[in-house]
Amino acid sequence: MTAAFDRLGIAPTRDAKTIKRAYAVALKAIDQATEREAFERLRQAYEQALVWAARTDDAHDNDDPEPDPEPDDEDEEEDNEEEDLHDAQSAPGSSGDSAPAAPSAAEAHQALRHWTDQLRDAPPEAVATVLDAALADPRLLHLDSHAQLEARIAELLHDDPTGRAVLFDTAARRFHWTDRNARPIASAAAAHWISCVVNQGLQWEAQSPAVVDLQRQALTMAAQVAAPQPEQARRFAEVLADMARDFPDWFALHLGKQGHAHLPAWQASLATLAPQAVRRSTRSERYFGTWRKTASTLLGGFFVLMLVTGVLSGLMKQMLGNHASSAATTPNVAGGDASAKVGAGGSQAASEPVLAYEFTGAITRDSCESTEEFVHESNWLEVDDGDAIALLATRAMRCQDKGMWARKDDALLTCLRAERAAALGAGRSEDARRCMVPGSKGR
Amino acid sequence: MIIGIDLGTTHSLAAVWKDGRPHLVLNALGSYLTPSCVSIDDDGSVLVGQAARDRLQTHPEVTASLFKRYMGSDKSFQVGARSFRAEELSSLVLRSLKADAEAMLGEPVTEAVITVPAYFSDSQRKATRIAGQLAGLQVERLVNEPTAAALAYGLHQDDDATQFLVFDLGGGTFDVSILEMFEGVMEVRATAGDNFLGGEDFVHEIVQLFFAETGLPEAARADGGFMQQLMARAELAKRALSDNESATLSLNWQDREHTLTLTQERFRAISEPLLARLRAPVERALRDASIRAGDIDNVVLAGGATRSPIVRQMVTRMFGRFPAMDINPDEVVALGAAVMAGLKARDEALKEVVMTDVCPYTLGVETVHRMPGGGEVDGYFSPIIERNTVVPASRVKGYVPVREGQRLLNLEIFQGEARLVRDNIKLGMLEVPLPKGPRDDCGVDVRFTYDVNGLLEVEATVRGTQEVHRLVIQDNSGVLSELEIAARLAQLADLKIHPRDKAENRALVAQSERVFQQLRGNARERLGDEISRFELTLESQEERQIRAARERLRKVMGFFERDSHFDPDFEF
Repeated sequence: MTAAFDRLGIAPTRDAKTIKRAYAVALKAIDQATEREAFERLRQAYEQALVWAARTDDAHDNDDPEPDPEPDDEDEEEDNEEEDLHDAQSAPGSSGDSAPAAPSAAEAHQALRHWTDQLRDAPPEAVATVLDAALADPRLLHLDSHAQLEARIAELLHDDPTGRAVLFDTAARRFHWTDRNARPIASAAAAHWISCVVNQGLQWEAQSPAVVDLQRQALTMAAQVAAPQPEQARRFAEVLADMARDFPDWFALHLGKQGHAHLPAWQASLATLAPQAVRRSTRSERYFGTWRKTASTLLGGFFVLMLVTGVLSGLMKQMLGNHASSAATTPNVAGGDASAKVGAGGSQAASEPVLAYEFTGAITRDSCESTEEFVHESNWLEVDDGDAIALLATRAMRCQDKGMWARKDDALLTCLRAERAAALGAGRSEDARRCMVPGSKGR
Repeated sequence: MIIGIDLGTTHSLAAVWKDGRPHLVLNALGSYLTPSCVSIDDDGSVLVGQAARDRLQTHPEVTASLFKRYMGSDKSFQVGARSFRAEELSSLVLRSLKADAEAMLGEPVTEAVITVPAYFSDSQRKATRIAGQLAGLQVERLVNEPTAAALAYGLHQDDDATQFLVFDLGGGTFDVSILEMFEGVMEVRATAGDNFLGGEDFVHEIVQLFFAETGLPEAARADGGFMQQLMARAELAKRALSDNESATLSLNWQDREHTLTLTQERFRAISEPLLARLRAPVERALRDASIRAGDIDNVVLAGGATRSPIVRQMVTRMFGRFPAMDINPDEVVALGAAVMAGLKARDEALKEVVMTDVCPYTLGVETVHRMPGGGEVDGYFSPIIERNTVVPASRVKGYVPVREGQRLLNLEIFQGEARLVRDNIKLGMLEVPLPKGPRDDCGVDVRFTYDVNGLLEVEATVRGTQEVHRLVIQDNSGVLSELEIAARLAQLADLKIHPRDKAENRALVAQSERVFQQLRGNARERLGDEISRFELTLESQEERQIRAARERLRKVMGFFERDSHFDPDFEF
């Protein structure tokens, strides 16, 4: 940290004002157009210093004045708002404009509560209309009110997604959740869950149309049929299991109330099917349609593969393995060279992801208990699937946040968090490496 | 001397930094605002500004306007016998502003700072630069319009530290920037915008309503002159509604009169969808700067469309406070451009002021994603420079080829916020040949460098060989190459520009012709006589007589123009 302060030419300080002043002085000596590197170094030092100052501040100062987005602390938030609005109303106006009909904080609060309740209970077909009405409510015209409504919807969905797929899709459209950096300002957990669902939804869509269609039917079937006939089970049970495994959050959201109730029966039916009767669908098969599209793109050139920073080498091997096997199924590629189709020599990954859908859905004491059991009993450390790990970790963190994690100072949970950070591209710290099972992952 | 130019969709302005403050430049007609319109006169010379704007209605086939909306595209505008690209038409406007500044300063002007909408893409920015080049101006710097507005506004602020938001709704574009000011540093925290939302869209809504309500046949849309008249009337009505409860538009098409009376309430109702679109960019900018609307100390309005009371009311409601009114929203961007010119010239009065801006959109490349467990899908956007990164910025990210033994890597470069590249804007492509060898050695480090002008440079280094490749934009169709620029420059050189000292007379004739067209019967005949009389006087070349005749025509025409709204058969 001292390096950043050295660059700013001051002693380490928690005073943001001092940091800003030092930055201003140094900045005036740089020509941004010609001295880009000097500017970037200064800028980085400045940003680091500010972050450090803010963090140290928090540690020393428990009376955080920032309002917490958690619903419990709303009163405080409302107080602040009232102040803001009061300020606003005393601001000088121009003679030409009529006074704005600024909604009072109390009205906005009432409206937020009203619309959140409405949205909670709205039947799927009415959700879009209700949300539009909420967004058009003059009591919520203030910019911060919409952000609060968005945060409440995000919380509502995150806490109990069952049967709220339509609300999710509508909110995603209205609040631009599919924009890459768009996140509700709400809790980080809800934000992460939303991005998981959005990503899984995109991946789901990217499957070949026939598979998407079949999976859609399976969802409907699960919602309608409480006790599947053998014929139905043969057709759909496996499909449901696929979805639960590959798109866990998205699946939990789209299964619906009935589907969740019927799912145990479907699972049981899967177990009774003779193994040879089950058409074992592999993922490369399901993505075959997409792969074909990729292959045709290949004719025009090649493409790049994103290398997530600090990606596990095991994961890489698995990619190579899968890739080689898919490549063998592609038509001959003009212009490519022969070695492209030769197997890469990486072994097919030994372990498929094993994290099942039980770990999604509402956070309850029971589900947290089973999550905790899973983290401590199963072999998740050997699973090479960043997405699945991230999911499990998020789940565990949510349980911990709600005080539903029995163990205190759980070392495995710390490992899990580190894995999650790595899977999300934040890189891996030295400490985290110790969590790994020797030889199974990492280098 | 560097001049500052606000090259707008409907109007353009120039300003200079002199004696420690910005000064706006008057054009040949004594106005600060020069309409961004270009027309070819009957003698083949180029008319820019008010005269061209008037000719939109009388000579639509030889007049062009709103071309800024097509900067960076391949659209060509047919103007008489010639066709022009948007940057060529813009260069003619710039040339006119340059001449005005030279007349005011008494010295040649060769350098300029030009403002662009913050949300302008790479190719739109390049086109703006080229427009400058075609006008004989070295473009020293491109500045984002809201940033320029903030510079002009921030200069008078004495507060020690303040956060403010610039709400810039121009003729064709909408930008929002959030700034923090401390210790003489003006720091843009976040910018968002909508490249296709502006005052012209409100006018368009009125035109649509006119068709819907008056039973005007759709065929009228093909009548260029009539449509320009209708748009001009809609514009007038829009302005009238700022002060009056209602406004009336009355127009003749094929000898039938069509009349629409528009109330403020109705106008607000038809504008509702446009007003709703103002919200999203503001919300995003707030979110990116991670501040609440309540933390904004002031809202600064820029752009002519923010004069409209319905827009102002919307702003007031969204923020729960009145916006700042100290600077004329039409002029604030040009004033800021002049401040930037002063900064560029390292003017003594500005030595304690420094500004940092951000890259308003995310820049990255297309990648292939592995699906959970297997299979691959291409078309994913991998960001390299995140939006609202402080510029100049340079960022590197590593990529590996998809397949072992791959010999060529196609880096497709995109701009945008969507997860999939199909929803983003493609900027270009870089081909990187890869060496033979293991895939690990074929990794490529891609460096994006975004400079203070908002222009992007891409560099790819092959890890194994340390070979460096720089972007040669291949299918970036919207941008002219150096060769094409030289060719266009030669073509533009044969264009005769209408002499500046005759501009006032020419503009008056153009305006009278426009009014003439709207009149009927006696009044029309009468004005026709007046125009002929004036043109006759012009031929005499007697300055004193011309001045008197000009006053006379202006008076008569002003009379007709005012009254023609109410009584087209007015008798003189």
